[in-house]
Amino acid sequence: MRQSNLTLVIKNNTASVIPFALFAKGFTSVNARTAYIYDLIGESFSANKNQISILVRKLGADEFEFFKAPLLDRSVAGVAAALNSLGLASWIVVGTTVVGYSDALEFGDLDIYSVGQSLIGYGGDLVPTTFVIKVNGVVRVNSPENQDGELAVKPGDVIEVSGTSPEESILPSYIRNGGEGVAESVPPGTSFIDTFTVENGVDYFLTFATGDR
Amino acid sequence: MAYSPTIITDASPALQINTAGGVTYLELLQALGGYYFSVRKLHIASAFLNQLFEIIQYNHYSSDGNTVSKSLVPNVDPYQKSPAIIMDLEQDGVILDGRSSLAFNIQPNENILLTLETDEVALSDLLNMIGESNVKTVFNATK
Repeated sequence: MRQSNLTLVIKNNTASVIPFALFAKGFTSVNARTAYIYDLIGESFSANKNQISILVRKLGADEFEFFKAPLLDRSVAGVAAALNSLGLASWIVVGTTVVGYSDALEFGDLDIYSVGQSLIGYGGDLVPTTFVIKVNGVVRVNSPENQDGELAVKPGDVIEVSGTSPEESILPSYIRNGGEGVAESVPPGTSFIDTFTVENGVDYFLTFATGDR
Repeated sequence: MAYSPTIITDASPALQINTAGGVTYLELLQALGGYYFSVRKLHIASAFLNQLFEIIQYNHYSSDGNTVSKSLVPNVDPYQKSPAIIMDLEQDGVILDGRSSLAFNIQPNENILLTLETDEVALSDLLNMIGESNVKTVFNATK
């Protein structure tokens, strides 16, 4: 055993608070379930009270980039739309049974991998600029107290998700599991739209997509 | 239902991490797993005092695979003027092994100097414990 000092200088170049996970290896290990950054409460960006932001690092790069998209609708569908609009990949977050609403939303686990790493077992080549974003768990509107007596999403609601799977995709660009264990995939380069009805007591999760930024 | 959110991105990197000694942060990350660091002390020096009030979450996995999060709260003197603190983590069992992380908020326009006093163990250390001709010993043992 040796003693050693690690010295880091961390600089936030933005005028906003950045939530950050130091020493997280989400990009270099398929199984490293690193909670990456999710800040769905942002209050200072461009006067948008509600916004989604995500911090990513390209494979092989030391610098981080911060992507932000305003959250126009505090529902699961709104979250899905905002995350999709980030353009990191054609990826989708599908929500769960319900809940009330407040300013905050919560992901079960949000993992970001490089495709090169996650293609282990698929025999794919490295595509350095490509990300895989995977949500393990539920996207949940987090609200112990129901602020205005309305539910953002409730059983019986129909959720719609849509997107275009990237041409460069090697993996199926969209897989949804939930309810009866539905799994769907879309060939690269095609647009898709999907709707499902929220059922009581069922979590919808595992969304999976690839694509170039 | 259709949404068309506006995308906002920064021209410059939002977050930069530099390290001392010519080893990049990326190299340090990649070494984790082969090298393990047990953190004894954490020195934090920031540009603004507010940064010191940020609680650090030590996220790791328990032996049964569940995620565990422990809050490391800086013991800041509210009257202190210097934005720097040393946190003693000896009793907290903070180990950086590639499956753990230290999560915290970084204040706007902040510049943090972070020094971790650690005990370092490498996988190769175990091999060296076998003996001087360790490779031969291991080779013979696997015959």
